[in-house]
Formats: sequence, C-alpha cells, structure tokens
Amino acid sequence: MKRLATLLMTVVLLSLTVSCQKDPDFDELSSEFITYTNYDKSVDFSKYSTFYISDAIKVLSDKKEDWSDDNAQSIIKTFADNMKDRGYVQLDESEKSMADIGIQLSYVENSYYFTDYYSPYYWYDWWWGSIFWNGWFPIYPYPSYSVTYRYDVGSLLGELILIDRATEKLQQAWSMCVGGTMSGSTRTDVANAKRGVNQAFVQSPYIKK
Amino acid sequence: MKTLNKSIVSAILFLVVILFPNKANSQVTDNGYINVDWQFNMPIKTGFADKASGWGMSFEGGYYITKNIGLGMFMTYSTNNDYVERQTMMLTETSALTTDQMHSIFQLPFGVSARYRFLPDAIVKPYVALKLGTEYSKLSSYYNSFSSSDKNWGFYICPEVGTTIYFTSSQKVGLHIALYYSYATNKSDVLIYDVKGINNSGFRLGLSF
Repeated sequence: MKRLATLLMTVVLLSLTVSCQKDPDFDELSSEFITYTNYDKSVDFSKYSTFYISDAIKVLSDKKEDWSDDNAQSIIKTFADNMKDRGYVQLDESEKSMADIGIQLSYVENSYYFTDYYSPYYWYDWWWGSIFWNGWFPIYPYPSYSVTYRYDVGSLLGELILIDRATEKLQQAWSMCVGGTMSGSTRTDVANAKRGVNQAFVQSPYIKK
Repeated sequence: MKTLNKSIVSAILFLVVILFPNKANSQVTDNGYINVDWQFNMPIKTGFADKASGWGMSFEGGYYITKNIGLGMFMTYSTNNDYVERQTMMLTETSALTTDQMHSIFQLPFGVSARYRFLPDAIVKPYVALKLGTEYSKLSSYYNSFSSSDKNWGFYICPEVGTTIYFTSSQKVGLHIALYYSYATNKSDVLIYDVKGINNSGFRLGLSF
C-alpha cells in the first residue's frame, strides 16, 4: 500500500512539474510583422510603366470605410516610393484611367481573417467598379498551408492589379500580406507596417520596370 | 598514491556492497516493475528544434517472465523548442515569407518493451532494453501571431541501457537511470522544413517500483 502511494505521488508530482506539452516561450519572438508575398509567374513586370495608388487604405470590416489620415498616407507613400524606385511612374487621380497597374491597399483587423474571409470580390467592386470583373480570378494572398491566429491581429494587404483596357479585364499580378499582433501603439504599428512594405519589395526583386 | 589506493579500495567496497545479492527482499518475490522517470531529450539532426530539453517524462511497466527477462509497456513524451532568427523563406516557387520563428517538436511514443537484466539478485540491476511501438509527433512553427503545424504517426524503436539501484533491503523503491537512443519514422512538412524521421538521444532519471 505504501509502495502504491509512493508511486502515485511520484506520478502526480512529476506530471505537475513536466506538463504534457510545453509551449515555447513566445516572448523570444520579435514583434516585427511577418511579410508574405506571392506573384503570378506568367507576368512580365517590365512590360508595364505606370501605376496608380489610391490615397486611402480600405478598411475591411462590416462597414465600408477608408483610412486616410497621416498614418495611412505614410504607408501609402512607402509603397509608392518602392514602386518608383523600381522604375515605375506614379499617376495621379486625374490620370487613373491611363494606369497600367492599379495598387490596392487594404487593412483588416480580425481574429479569424484567414479562415473566415474567403471572398474579397466586393472590395474590388467597391473600389474599381464592376466593369473589370469578367475573367478576373484572384490569387489570394494567403499561405497555402493551414494558418491559425492566436490573438487579434492586423493585416495590411497590398496587390498589384494589371489593367487590360482593351479587354476590360483585371489580372492580379502580385499580392502582399504584412501582419501580426498589434502592439497597442499606433506609432509602433505603423512603423512596423512600413518596414513590412519595404521587406515585401526586398523579397520581390522581379517587380521592376 | 595512498589517496589513489584508498579510492580504488573504496570503489571495490562500494561495488561489492551494491552488487551483493540481497535475497531476503529481492524483486524476485514481486516480478512486476514500474518506472516513472523525468526525461531529458535531444533530437539529433532533424533540422527542426534540435535543442536539448528536459520537458519530458517516461512511464514503463512490466513483468519479469524469468529472473532476467522482462516484458512490458511504455509511454513517454517530450517537447523540444528552438528559436529561429528572422529569415526569408521561399514557400513555393512564387511565394515568400519573412519572419522569425519558434520551432517546437512534441513527441509521444508508446508501445511494448522487452528487457534483459544482468544481475537480478543484486542491489544494482543493470539491464538492456528495446522498446517498439508507434509515435505521435507534432511539429509546429510559431511566427508572430500565426502557427503552422503538422501532426504525424510513425513507427518507433528505442534501444536503452540502464540500471535500477536499490538503497534499502526491501527493494520496494529504487533509483532508475537509463540512457537511450530512439528513432521514429514520422515524416513532417512545416513551411520549408521537410523532416524525414526523428532521431533522439537522452537520459531518463526517476524511480523504480
């Protein structure tokens, strides 16, 4: 009986000390956002010359709204500067219809974005209008493996859309997702997002005129 | 020289004492055995979380069908975590991901075991053992707020050498020490990491009942 009690006590004590699966120390991870990019291999980016980028970031939520304050402008400028560094010419609002490439920046803050958000079609309708819908199939900017969120996160999505005016079709050529846990400080999060945008171009050397 | 002779004599005396048969209360009267151990495990060249860790336990129970040969069952588990610096990974030919990561391997093998003990009547009972079974493993990569995991099952084999040391004449509870090597056929694919088979080595330290 004493032997059984000792055995049980040992099992209980050791089990309490060494739980079944030990979670890693997440504090070791940096707070830097992840940067994911994907592109259509068939696209020759050097064939295009001009781009248009909106002066507002679309916020994907139940309500349709724009994010256009100074923080948004600094992110948009970072993106546009990278495009210009690669040899593309930025067109303004009045020349929008002449652009070869349309750039869509969007922001979403949702715990279940990757698993719940399947159809970004409305967002294109809302921004570009429905005239370019025919024949356009998006490459989702999501990793092809299973991804789960542990916390509420923010994601900045960016896409290069090739505009074929002759056929009135859009082709998604490149996509970007910069995201991670929000720090609670807007200044830090915006700085993180801008570094993510820069990294997206670093890992996409094929984008160049 | 005098000190050296003293040490040798002490060692011989120690061996005589611990190996001297204690027939009054040897385990022969109780052919069962149960080991409860803390496990220190180190994956070997898996390319994924190859960092030694003490987050593990081992349970084994069996019965001596002869004075020397025991048959039983076992279950162990261990977790190994390792930090990976920020890097850009080519997930596919066209997609890239930049992030730092925390890698984690959780292993849970269980099955049957056989052992041969050399000195069944001694206080110190060295043995060799072979464990065969199946292993459940989960390889995870955590990056910022995301994680990618792959769970698998495989065949498990584990040769082991160890000893049980009893400090009392009743031999009801003893110290158990073992060194082991194990191999599991589990194959996992997480992000860019392709793990084919998991080799481990380590030791187990606990109590034997």
